[in-house]
Amino acid sequence: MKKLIGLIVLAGLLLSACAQPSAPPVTGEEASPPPELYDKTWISPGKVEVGNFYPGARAEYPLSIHNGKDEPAKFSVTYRVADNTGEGYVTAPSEAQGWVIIADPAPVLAAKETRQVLIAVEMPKGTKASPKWEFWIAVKDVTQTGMVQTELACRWLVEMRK
Amino acid sequence: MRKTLITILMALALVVVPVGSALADSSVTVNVTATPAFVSLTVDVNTWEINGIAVPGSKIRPSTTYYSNPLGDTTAPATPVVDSACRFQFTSNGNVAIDITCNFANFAGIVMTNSNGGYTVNGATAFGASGYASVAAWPGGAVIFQNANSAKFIDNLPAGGTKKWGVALKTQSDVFTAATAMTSTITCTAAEH
Repeated sequence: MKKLIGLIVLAGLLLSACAQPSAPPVTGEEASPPPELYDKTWISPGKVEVGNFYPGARAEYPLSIHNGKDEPAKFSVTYRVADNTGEGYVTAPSEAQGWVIIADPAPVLAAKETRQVLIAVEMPKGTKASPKWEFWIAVKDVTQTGMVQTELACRWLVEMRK
Repeated sequence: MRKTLITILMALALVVVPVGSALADSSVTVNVTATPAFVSLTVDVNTWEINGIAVPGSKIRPSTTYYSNPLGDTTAPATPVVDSACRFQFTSNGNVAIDITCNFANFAGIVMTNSNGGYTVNGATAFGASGYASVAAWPGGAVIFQNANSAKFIDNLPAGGTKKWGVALKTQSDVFTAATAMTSTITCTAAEH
């Protein structure tokens, strides 16, 4: 009887050890921008790397946007097909645009304000992608005028689990 | 004793088999990492009146190549391109090197679409455009400005670095039907190198 109880306890321990939550940990350090960037518009980070990704998984990371202007500015935050990709990566599959969630696609930032916008990618079960794929999140101050305008992009580099 | 063992083994088999298969997908950890970096890009001049640098208000003609060249609206840059032939200057304000890609949208007003073939390729109601950068060869080093998915224009501009540049544009081959003002936008995107 003691052996039976022991085995059941052991089995319970083993099962509980296996059943770890699958919530994706987010790592990376928060850094303060250099003071000279206070009056410049910037985004951070420049690259987000996702590893061990798989259909059914979710990954997220906050994108910081800073309005360097002296007046409020409206920004667009959009999914963008990568114009060019990192070595070994290919552009994301066409349906990937539907996998990306942008918490606030049109934030209005006060002068010199920095705000975080959560970006998440949720790959539905049953879908497929190349082993390494890349997409961009583009941030543009839509209050810009003139023929030449600038846009900033955060690169998302996704590596599927092997 | 034997009965007990069989019972335990059967119970374990029933419990472990379904849980094991369910864990195949859910126990994998997804890693998300990012290195602190700040990406910032500015352009010193954001306007270009085509054929209007030397004499503002000048009209444009069909099948003519114009340059954003302070040395002359129809003057091609020398090779290699010198700073004085460039109207614009990029500055990378962030703390990482960046790559820059430029897309040239179709014109509105009188619609003139981008041929996506570069500054030598125009057509009926279609223009072509290319970018040139200081120190690059001309025309060999020119980069086609498409209306989307252009190739990389500036590669690995270091943090704090600057680069002067300009645009060449060949207007549509057919005559313009009206003297309506035409507008377009060149959007230059910076991404961490």
